[in-house]
Amino acid sequence: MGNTRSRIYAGQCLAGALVTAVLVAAIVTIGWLAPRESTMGDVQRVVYVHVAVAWFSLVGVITAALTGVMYLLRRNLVWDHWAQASAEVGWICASLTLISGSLWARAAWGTWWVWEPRLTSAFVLWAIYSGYHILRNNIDQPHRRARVAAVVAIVGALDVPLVIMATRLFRGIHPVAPQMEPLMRLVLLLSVVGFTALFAWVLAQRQKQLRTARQLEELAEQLQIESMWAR
Amino acid sequence: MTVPGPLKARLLKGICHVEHIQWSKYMSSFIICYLIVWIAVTSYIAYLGACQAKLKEQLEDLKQDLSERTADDPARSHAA
Repeated sequence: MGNTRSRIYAGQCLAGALVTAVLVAAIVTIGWLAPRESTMGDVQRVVYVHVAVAWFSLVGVITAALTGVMYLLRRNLVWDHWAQASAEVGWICASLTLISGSLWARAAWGTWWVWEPRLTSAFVLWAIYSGYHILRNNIDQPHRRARVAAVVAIVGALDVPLVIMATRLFRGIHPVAPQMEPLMRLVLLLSVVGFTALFAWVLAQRQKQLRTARQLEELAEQLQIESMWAR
Repeated sequence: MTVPGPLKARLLKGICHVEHIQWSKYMSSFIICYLIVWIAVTSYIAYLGACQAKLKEQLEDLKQDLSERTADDPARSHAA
């Protein structure tokens, strides 16, 4: 038992060290190794962060929808905890996508915001995420909350193909798939991997925390019932 | 003392060490973006930490509650 625990702890430490190393490498390469883009200049470096957070905002909503489906099939609250955790991290990433995109747009297009297809669909995704959290906070009964949240997450996931295909299907000003130097591609890949690992770790921690909170709640309820019987 | 142009450039290069970075006016946009991302991430992790502390407190309360009950109930305390 103790041996297994120490192995799990060692594994967690190793994973943490790996995530930190990749993130540090990403930070260093984005700031120093990535070459300066000839037309946009240094503001192009925003792209390395923007793409990484945008990617995880899509991962977040897909995970919330899939775990929502699992909850609807199994009616086990553990799936709902996964859904809540991924929706929380996804909402943060969606917000950061809009903020970083606006900072880039100000420099590249001369405006903070344009109602063009990609930006609009990304904003709709952010609004769905926000609605999801507002709904969750307003329902007390855990299973009812999980059921409603799962439906919202599944509906929200329908926006993901629209976000991805918006630049291809409709005419807009958002770049489709810009040509990049091999070194730039490498830095982008490192950044996406680093941020994905960080957000996945945060998501797992949050899920664990929600599960523990639920277990404690159940225990407190059980004790309350027991004390009522004793009286 | 005035520093001649090429020497000044060389000195600046020596201070910066890195040739890739040229401080354009948009470098600040990148730095702001980066700061916002990290502030958001660390704030969320801090929020998780606060939740964890609350859970720990709840657990302690439950433990205390349970130990008080065990002390009150002689049959339970004997079994314990």
